Amino acid sequence: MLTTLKARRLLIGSGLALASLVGAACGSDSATTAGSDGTGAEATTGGSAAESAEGIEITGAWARTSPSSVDTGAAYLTIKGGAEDDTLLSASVDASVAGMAQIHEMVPVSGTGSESTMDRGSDSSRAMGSDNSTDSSAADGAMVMQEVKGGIEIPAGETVELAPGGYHVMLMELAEPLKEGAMFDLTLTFENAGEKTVNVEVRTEAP
Amino acid sequence: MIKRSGVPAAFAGALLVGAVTVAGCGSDGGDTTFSGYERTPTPQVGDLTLPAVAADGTEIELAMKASDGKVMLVYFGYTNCPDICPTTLSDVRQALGDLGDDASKVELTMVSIDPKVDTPEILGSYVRSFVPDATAVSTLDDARLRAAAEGFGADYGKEEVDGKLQPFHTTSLYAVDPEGDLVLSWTFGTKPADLAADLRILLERVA
Repeated sequence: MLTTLKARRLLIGSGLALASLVGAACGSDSATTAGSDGTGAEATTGGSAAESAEGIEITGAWARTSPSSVDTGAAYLTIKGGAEDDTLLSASVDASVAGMAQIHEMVPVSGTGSESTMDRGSDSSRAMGSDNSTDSSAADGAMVMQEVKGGIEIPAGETVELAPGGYHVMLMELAEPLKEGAMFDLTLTFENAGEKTVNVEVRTEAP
Repeated sequence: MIKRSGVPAAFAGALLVGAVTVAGCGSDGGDTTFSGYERTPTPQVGDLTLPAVAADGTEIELAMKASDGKVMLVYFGYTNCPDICPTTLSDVRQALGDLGDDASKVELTMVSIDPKVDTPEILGSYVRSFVPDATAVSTLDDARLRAAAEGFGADYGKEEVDGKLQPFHTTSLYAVDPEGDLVLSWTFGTKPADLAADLRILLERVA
């Protein structure tokens, strides 16, 4: 079983059920689609693997198709730490794909900052959540997206998922909608391992 | 998966008192047959209405209740949401795929919590890229939107993140029956197959 730092954090914070999605996000090798429609170079292998001397390994990179009405998207992948601890600092894509890429995470909304957020409905559902033995004072709580500060720690030998509901590479100002079957390159910058480029497969569903 | 089954006995008892009884609820271990969860008392949302645009472009006053023999799914989200919303809508699409012909008995409505950006056209195009016959609700009448969200126990608003106002929202998906009873809620990350299984049960009840 993979150790997923993010999943742990979210389970503490929000009680969201990530396990299934996290599981689904790893181990993709559906290499049937290889059509590059100009969104990127015909790079290495579909969805699998950029390996470095340090042994950091990136697999299962995929991005969800984006509706034509929006210019944002998200990419997901799995990182297996190498021999030494490392930190994922940033992500980037070619301007032909998107104007900007950032590493984001979903976190429970901290408080009741917004006006009139205290409503009976969510109170009762939260109360129900707390009745639940597992955790989850915010099982039905709200989530907000924020940029990850200071990068994502990749402990040696451990696997960290960027998966729906947790971390994702947010693609902003998409040059064109992400179409099923397209491929593009995503470059991840690690503190120690340096730059690693992976080929991302655009898919309608998680692999 | 978060264990919705770990419901304390007192709570399970309360559920039995409710109008809708959970098959298997209150049995040893408190297992329910649903992956989603029911609330007590069952929220009544059928009297809530919001201005909506149906899939055929018709502007309607949408009551928050399913048509006879159908189940309505309601989701509060926004289009510039690269992670949570497309994941959930994609899961719904997959669940509907699992349902086959019965998918036509499921009515998806997406309510924008960022209506200034999500015009009815943008939201309609967005949600229908996932589920072609979905209904889009985008209203600038915040009082009505707030009232509707509260009826569902959903929270939304904007939170300042890195100096920018970032929309946040409750990430649950809701099911409403023809009586306007909010019969089931799913937390983010419920697997499509589990959504489909729950929907089959709900459809049997309303048949």
